[in-house]
Amino acid sequence: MRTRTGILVAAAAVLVSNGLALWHAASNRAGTDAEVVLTERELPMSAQEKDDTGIWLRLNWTPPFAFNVNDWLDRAKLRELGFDVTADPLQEAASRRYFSEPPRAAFAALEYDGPAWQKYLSSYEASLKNTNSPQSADQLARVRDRGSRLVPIDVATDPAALRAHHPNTSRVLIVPATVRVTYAGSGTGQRLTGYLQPALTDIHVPLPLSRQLNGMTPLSIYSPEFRSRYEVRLRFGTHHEPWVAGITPLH
Amino acid sequence: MPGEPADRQSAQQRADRIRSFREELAALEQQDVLRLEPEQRERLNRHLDSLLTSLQSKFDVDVNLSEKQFSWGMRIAVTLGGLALCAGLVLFFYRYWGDLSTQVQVALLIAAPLAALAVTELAARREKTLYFASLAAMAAAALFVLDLYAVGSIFNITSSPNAFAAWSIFAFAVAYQYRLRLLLVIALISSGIWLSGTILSLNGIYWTQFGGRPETILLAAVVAYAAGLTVPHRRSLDFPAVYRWTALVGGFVALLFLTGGGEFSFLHWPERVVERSYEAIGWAASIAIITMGIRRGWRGDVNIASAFFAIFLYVRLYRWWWDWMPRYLFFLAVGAVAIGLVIAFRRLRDRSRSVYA
Repeated sequence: MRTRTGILVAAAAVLVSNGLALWHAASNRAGTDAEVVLTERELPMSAQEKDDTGIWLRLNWTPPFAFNVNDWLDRAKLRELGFDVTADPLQEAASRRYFSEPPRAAFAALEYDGPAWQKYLSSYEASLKNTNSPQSADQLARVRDRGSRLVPIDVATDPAALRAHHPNTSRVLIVPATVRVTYAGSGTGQRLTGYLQPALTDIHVPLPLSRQLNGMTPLSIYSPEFRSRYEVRLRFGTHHEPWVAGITPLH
Repeated sequence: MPGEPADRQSAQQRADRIRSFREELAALEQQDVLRLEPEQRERLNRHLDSLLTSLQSKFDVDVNLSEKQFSWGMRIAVTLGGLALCAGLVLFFYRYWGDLSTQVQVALLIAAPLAALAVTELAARREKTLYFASLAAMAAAALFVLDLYAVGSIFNITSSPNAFAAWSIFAFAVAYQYRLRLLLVIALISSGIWLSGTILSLNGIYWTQFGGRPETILLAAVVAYAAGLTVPHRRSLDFPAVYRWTALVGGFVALLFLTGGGEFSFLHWPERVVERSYEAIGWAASIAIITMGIRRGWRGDVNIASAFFAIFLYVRLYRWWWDWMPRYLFFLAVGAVAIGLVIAFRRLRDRSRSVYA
């Protein structure tokens, strides 16, 4: 008679892996690392596929290295993250090596509506004044009134050490991210910096909370009619993974 | 019955040999080279017919060419149907999952691959050819991929290579249970991704960056090839070849990538040294595989290694000649080399014929 070891192993793989995933999710939600109320500016609705009825919010932060906001993400910080930055970045062979360096896993500290956001706005305003563009006022208004106020302020491989440096759990989120080496500046003034990207962008909205967003469609911040339509209470657990704890419509 | 085949593939080979034998016997009789006595002919036909009937009833083999053509058609239909079925099931889930509570979503996601496994087992009990069983097995694998992916999304779990370990174990188990080569390929690719991703993670690199460090793929290929050589397969006689072919394609692609991108290596040597070293390994490996393939009669290995040998050769010629030669001369030279390769491969084929003889 034919044995059924294979089918039993396959069924066990399904049950054990799901059990581990559920245990991981439960242990994440057993504690709260941060809790913050964000708006549609920071959590816009993700564009939905035609055949997808799930609802997702996209964690949106300010452009990672615009206007020297990330001047703290320098060569020394890259070394701390594990990058080999011994080679002179101005040498051609070194730049090829730096550009081909794969991104490293890390955790980013995102500050919500704090001094980093004010600094970003000031830098942006100053850069717009230099351009003398007729659209400057509109561009500034778009960023100031409709852009995400989450700004990266630090990055590290150890989330506990990062939290110890930034203990404000209602204003600073610690999120999984990736960091890639890149260059800032131009000519002989070029220096090494990092390009930060979130490792987890889309956040699922489960029932019954998703009913609060029924009938809404994704709205771009580039649209002049954009006004935040909801507030989201977002919690981050012990593994720094988020979940939606509440949604309040604003209008 | 003495010398009875162990599996359907061996049974089909036996049936094919019988058909070829009958065709050759008819040709020999027509040319008056051999003539059987009526009694001998009757005994032979009776023996071969009973053998074919036995093979057909036990393994559902194809006994003539038209049956074989139908079987190929069914195999193509199963593959295409399987892919369509997988896409349909995944899209069906996403179409309605927004209307389900988290508990119902998770319960359905876990139950779906288990139900598909049960259907696979039922189908395997009812048919010997395993067409419907392989269709159900593909659906089960797709549903399990959907399951872990969707559970990860529902709970916003940061992605990791560990899901590939689970998919790999599942696909290996189903492949060995029903002797399904496609599932074995999926299992090998999944385990390769898991191994590469885990090595990257342990080095602090984000786990999806295989292209950024092709040596991890190379290592996974070496492990799979070694498994193909050493792991005994008494039931699934065609599986070692699947291990070797999957490993060879993955390993040679990684080597090819490294010969042109030394900066992507783990080795902190000058780029040119890294590229030349991996190019030398590529040459040596392709020649070694061709030699071993000829000696052992592994035609698939020889074909794959020969194809990559030619690619390595053209890459080398490009690097030597492209910049300083007029274009027409370069292509003429490449044409001449191609002719040389044909002659070389013909000699190798003649050698392999003598080995087979």
